[in-house]
Amino acid sequence: MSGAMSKEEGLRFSEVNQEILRTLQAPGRSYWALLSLLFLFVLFAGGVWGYQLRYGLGVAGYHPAGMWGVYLVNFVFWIGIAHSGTLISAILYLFRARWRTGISRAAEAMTIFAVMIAGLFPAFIHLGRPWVFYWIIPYPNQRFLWPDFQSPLMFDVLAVTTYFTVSLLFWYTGLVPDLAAARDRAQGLRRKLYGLFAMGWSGTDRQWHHYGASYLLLAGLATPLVISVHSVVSWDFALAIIPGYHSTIFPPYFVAGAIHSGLAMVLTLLIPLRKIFHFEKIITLDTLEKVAKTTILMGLIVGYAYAVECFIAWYSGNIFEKQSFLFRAFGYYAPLFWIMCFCNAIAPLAFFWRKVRRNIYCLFVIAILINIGMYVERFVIICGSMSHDFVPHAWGIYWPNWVDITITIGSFCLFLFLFMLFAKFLPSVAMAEVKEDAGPPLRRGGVYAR
Amino acid sequence: MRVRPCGEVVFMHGKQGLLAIFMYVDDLFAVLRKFKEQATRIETVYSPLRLREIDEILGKKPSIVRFITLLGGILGGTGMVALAVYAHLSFRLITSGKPVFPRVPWVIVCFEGVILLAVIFSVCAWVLKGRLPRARLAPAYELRFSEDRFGVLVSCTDAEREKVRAILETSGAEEVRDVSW
Amino acid sequence: MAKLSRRQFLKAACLAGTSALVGACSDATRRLIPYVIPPEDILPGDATWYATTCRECPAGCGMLAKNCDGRVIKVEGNPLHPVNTGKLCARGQASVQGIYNPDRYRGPMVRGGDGKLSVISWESAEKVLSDRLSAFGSNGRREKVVFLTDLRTGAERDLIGRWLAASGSTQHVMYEPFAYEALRKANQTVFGTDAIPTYYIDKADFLLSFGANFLETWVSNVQFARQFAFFHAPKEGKKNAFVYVGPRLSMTAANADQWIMVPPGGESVVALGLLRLMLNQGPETGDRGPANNNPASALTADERAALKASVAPFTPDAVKRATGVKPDLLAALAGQLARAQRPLILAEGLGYQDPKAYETAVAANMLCSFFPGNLQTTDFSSPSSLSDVVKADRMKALADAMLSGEVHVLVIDRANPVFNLPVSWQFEKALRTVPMVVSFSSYPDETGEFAHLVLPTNTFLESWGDYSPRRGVHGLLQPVMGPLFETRQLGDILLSTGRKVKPEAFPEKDLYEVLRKAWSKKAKEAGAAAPSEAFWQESLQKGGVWAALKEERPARPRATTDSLIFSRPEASAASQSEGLAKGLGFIAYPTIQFFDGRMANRPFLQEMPDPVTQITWAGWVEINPETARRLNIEKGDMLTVRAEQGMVKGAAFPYFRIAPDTLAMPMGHGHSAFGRYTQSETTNPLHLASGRIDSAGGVIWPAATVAVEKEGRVVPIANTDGSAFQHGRDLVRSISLQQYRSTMAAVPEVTLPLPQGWDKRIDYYPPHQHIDYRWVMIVDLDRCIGCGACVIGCYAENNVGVVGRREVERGRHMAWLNIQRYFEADQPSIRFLPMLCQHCDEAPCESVCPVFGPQHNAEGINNQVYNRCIGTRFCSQNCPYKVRRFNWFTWKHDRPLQWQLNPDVTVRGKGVMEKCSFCIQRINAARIQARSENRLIRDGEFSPACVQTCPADALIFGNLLDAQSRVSKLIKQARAYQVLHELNTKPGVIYLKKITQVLT
Repeated sequence: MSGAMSKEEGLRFSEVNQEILRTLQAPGRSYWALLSLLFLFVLFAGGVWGYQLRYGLGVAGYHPAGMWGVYLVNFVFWIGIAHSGTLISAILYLFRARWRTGISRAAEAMTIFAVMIAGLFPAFIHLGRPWVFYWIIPYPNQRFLWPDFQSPLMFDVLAVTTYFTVSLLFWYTGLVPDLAAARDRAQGLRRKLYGLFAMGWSGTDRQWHHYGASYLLLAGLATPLVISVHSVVSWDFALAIIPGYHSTIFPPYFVAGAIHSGLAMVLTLLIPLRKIFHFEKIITLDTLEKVAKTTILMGLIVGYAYAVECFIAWYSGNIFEKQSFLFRAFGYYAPLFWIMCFCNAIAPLAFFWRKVRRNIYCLFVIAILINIGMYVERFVIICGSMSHDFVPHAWGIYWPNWVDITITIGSFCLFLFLFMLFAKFLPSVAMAEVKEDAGPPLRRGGVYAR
Repeated sequence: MRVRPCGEVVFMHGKQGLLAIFMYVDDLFAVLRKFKEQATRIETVYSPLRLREIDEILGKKPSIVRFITLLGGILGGTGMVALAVYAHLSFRLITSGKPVFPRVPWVIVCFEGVILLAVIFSVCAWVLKGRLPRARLAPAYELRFSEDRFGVLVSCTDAEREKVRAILETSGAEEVRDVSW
Repeated sequence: MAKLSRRQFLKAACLAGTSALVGACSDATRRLIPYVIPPEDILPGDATWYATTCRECPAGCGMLAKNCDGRVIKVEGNPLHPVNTGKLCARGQASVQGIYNPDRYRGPMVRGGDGKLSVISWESAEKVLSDRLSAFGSNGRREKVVFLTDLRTGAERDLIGRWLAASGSTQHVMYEPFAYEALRKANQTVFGTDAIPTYYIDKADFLLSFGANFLETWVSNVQFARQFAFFHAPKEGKKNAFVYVGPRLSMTAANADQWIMVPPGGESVVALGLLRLMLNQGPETGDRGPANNNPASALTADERAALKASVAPFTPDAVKRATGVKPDLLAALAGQLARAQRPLILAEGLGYQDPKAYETAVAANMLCSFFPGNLQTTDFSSPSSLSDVVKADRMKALADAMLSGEVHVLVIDRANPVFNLPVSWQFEKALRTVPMVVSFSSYPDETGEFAHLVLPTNTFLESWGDYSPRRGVHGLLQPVMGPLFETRQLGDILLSTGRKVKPEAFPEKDLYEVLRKAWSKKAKEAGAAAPSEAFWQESLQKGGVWAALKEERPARPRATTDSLIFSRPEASAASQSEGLAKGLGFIAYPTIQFFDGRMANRPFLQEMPDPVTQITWAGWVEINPETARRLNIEKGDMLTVRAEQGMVKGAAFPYFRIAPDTLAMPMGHGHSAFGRYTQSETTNPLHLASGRIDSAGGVIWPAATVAVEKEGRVVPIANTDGSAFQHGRDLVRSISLQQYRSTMAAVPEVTLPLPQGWDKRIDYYPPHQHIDYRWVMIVDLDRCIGCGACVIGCYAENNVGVVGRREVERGRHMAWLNIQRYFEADQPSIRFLPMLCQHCDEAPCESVCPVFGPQHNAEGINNQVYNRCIGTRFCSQNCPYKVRRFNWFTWKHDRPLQWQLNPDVTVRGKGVMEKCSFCIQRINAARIQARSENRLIRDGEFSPACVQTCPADALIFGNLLDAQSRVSKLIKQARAYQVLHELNTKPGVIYLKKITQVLT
């Protein structure tokens, strides 16, 4: 299969390096302009956060009974984004799905940045007293105080930190041989830096031996983690008793949703990347098509989850469940609900048509739609459910105000900022793996394929 | 061309041998097999990608990394649960009518612990077992090894040198040179 | 001893107050108490309670003020006092904010030519006044000085009299906006006494109120609330009925078994229609009714004939035409009345809502007079002191006199006629014409705007005095803390100025001496065997003297029926207005928060949701939703209401329970110069009052019809309720009287918040034990009248933050305990649900917190550790009752309001979650006491602030582990239930279902 692929694409074993390391050449002016623009807005958002810190959370648009606003929505959204990376690099690696090689590196980078940003929200931006956020961290302290390991938020702390560490190490492991390659082609400071991070990798047989064993294990360990992390995140809600939160379908539903949004984000980022860096040979249309196909599956799962929620609301016979669903579907936030249904469950079905799957623009548009849909879904669940819970007297409608919105946009800018840095300063495609796919040449002709 | 990696001086430990550089992977395998039969000491095989066949030819044992990872997992799981238990026993408070020492949450705590430490151990394992990190690259290292060429480093005495060189050249090495380290 | 120490205490307290004031910029609560000579009855950090009398309204409830380190921080009812027996209403609870009000005058001031006030010394200020006064009295220029106050009795009143006399005047005008002219006149007409009797609602067996909101502001609301709770409580399977007739569902009406809606002015028609029915008792009221109390027994034949003649026009049909009240309903009401033994029929007797208040009152009295048993419920022998206040026509006369320049000096204390009188009387203009206006008021107010000289007096909590709300009850006032600012007691000012005018007339050194003299006289009257000193000390400790309640009432003068002519019933707007042909009716009504508006500058009261509309801050215009729809008016539309007298502005609020084609506005809003807390877009509804005076001497308030137009802008209304209905969720439960009877023995569906409450089938984890106590609260929904006294009590006790209007709009009000109000389709159509932290045994809020912020203590209380909280807000998110409150900001206390803060309770900063703690500081105090006596806390030994002040005893607090405690008994009642029981949170707050009854 890899043979076929390399024939098709005609990217030969010997070309891989310069093809990919091309991207590390000095960027143009427009790149810097965009980068600094993003950076400036991140700074501004930071300033707004400082303002919130100074005067209290009240400056944001919170409206009880809804105690959680878009900050938590952002958290769940970014964690969701973070999923595809490890999914693609780990799970598909185990499944020997070769088409992943072109996109795995970028996807993993996406994961890392997404988790970093996701972590900012519950730990700093969303907290009432962020200056004591470290009270959640379980370590022996002079205060003789400990966190409560029963709290879903503690699960979060454990799960997210673990997930971040694991993805980071996994990513770095994959990166080392490529860093070595970059090192060998760079000069001066760059060479020193790449050399530093390559740790003096020289591709000896013993290095490859242990490396290979470890990489497989990492993939194996990361796989259950991917599933677990978003299940844990979903417990922030499923373990609560609020109608609209309290539902056993949440873990699978959230995981599917996460992968859904993650894949969409992969498409959103890679399609431009592919265009800009002329990666058509590496990130092939087949690859994108494969992603699209997976998206159909996820879309169907999410759609199923929506349907089940509706069914349970009726079947449970519980007045709170029923009313909270009716409110969700026909109440104040109804438009959002229907947007979410369309974007997440209906739109991806278009990928059933090969034409759509293989049309870059359709892919891009639908990916964007899914991103929007998934963000809205989180809003509908988190904010929508809270605004109508048990006690009617306490009901209240929440909308984000300028503070919430600025900080949210800030988080998106930070994400793009980091991703752009990555694309320009690190090999954005796993060379060693691409080489494996291309296969080293044989004297008797053809390429070696195991 | 022969660029010295990082261009630093090479220390002489008195060991010396031959480095052959191959372009075709089947030539590489052939040579390796031959040397294995003749029980010539193959010091190192350089490759830009992982080739399991090399491990097979050289007859490597399964990597120890696996056990280190397992160890990490066990330590992590037990350790994290131990921490949680200690925390709850040293800070006895009742919440939501649950006992001070609840059973259920430990599952998650344990799971996360397992994964976390297993991964950390695993990464440390391959780094250290791969004799990394190292400040300098081996004198035999060629920049081409990170691109598309393969290399075999054989240590040999002056006596056998010519024989070995002959084998290498006949088996399609692009280039053969003396190395000492 | 006490006296001496009191002097010392006052010295010390003055020091404390002033020194703290000097350093007001630093955090006053941090400084040491600057006692020079530590008085022996004051321990630093240890509160002392002083008995005094509440003067926030004429009811004159007994009060205990808690003084901590020289500052009063909380007031509670005086349990010994016959009027309120230990309870206070929301206004009383908020009275402390009168002392610490940031807008208070800090010292004497004089108004310069530029109209600006400038500070002067007391000496020169008093000189200005005394110089002016000495010109009067002597040289034949008499009656030129007028002293305008609110209701005063006792020593102060005498002193004012003497002071006036010294300047040759007798004109002490005691003005109360609620003078009940119509009621008093009606009593005169029917019972021959121009007075307001003492009512004993608890003695009645049937209660009929024509617009009398006796649970809110009418005469003496706390007393009535207590009596009503007793009256309305189920007794051996029966429940006395209460019917309310009025144009809108007031809080009082909400507690009626049946509310009969009539258009404004319809009360009299219904009352007279009822009178007519009672007069010719037909078969329709059948049974034993007429037999027992045949009106003939009360009246002679010709009287009866005359009466019949005068009420002849009020046939059931006429009533229906005029008010829309159906004949059968009227008949049923008559039947109810006829069956009663000791009915009590109350008429508001004020023109605010009922233009024919007098006729209503007369009819009500006539009805009462038919029932011998009724005598048990009223006592004319101890009339309310309110009977002494002047009627509105006197104020009109005063205004005219001022305009015609007859008044040379007008002295005003605690009266605000500019705000309360009809604009058409031009009181403002009149004030301008008076050469010298002196204001003794403690706060700047509308009337004070026109004062040339401002001599701020102490608030009642800072002064000596006495007040008797009714004959036979004499309350004492004593300073519960030293004056906070450069203010003086009215009495002292009068003495010093009076002395300058006529030295021989004022021998006393100060007010205190005046008071002592007066009370030694009282001692003699009371025939106290003890010397006056002992009598004085005892009275001071008790808070006054009063005779024991006598059971038998003196005979009431027989009803006279001569010269009763009633206006003919004309069809009202409501009954026959399709379209806007007839315009809208308008009423202004007093609210429990603001009374006549004199308490509007208390932030607590502004933040307190109105019991029925749940609106905080600023006023509103109630309008029936149908009418609103017809005029396409939406909630929050700024309306301009016009009548020939003038116009008022207010935000529209569609209210489900107001007569169609009627607008209603709460009084007390729309102040123009009453400090920072009273500013709002809403203007004063009293400006719509017609200047006309009715036959009783009261003002006819509502303009006959008003026109309303939209201003076009929308003003957000800061109401605290997310939804006005229960949406079938059955949170507030009620059972009919029949069910109550039949299920008396049944076992309630309550999951005890105890190990017994555990059940393998629904609980995964094993139960946990409580040590010695399991604190629980019982909320009797059948007793709760929704008055909100508990809410303000909680605010005051627990330093609950006042967030202001903007934040309330965002649903961020901080009330730990709020009275939720839900509308029901069937009567009674409002259900009140006091909602506070339920202290669940399986509290959902606890285990979701990552840092043990909330946890469960061994006494079953759900602790919230403020210092530990990091503000994830998950607890509130997961609280099904939504009773947790988050500090979105660090709420500010305008100086010197921060001095009211309770030192026993942490003041929470931004980013921290807080909630009801069952007043854990009180529990701990009680525990320490008990431990020192090495016993357990006794049942009822202490109670949380809310329980303590509940006038209806709807809240009961206690230990569930004590089988003998009241809560342990009540929890066994069949009525007991837990809100959201199905969630198995095992709440520690147990509710008792409301008992409803349908009247036939």
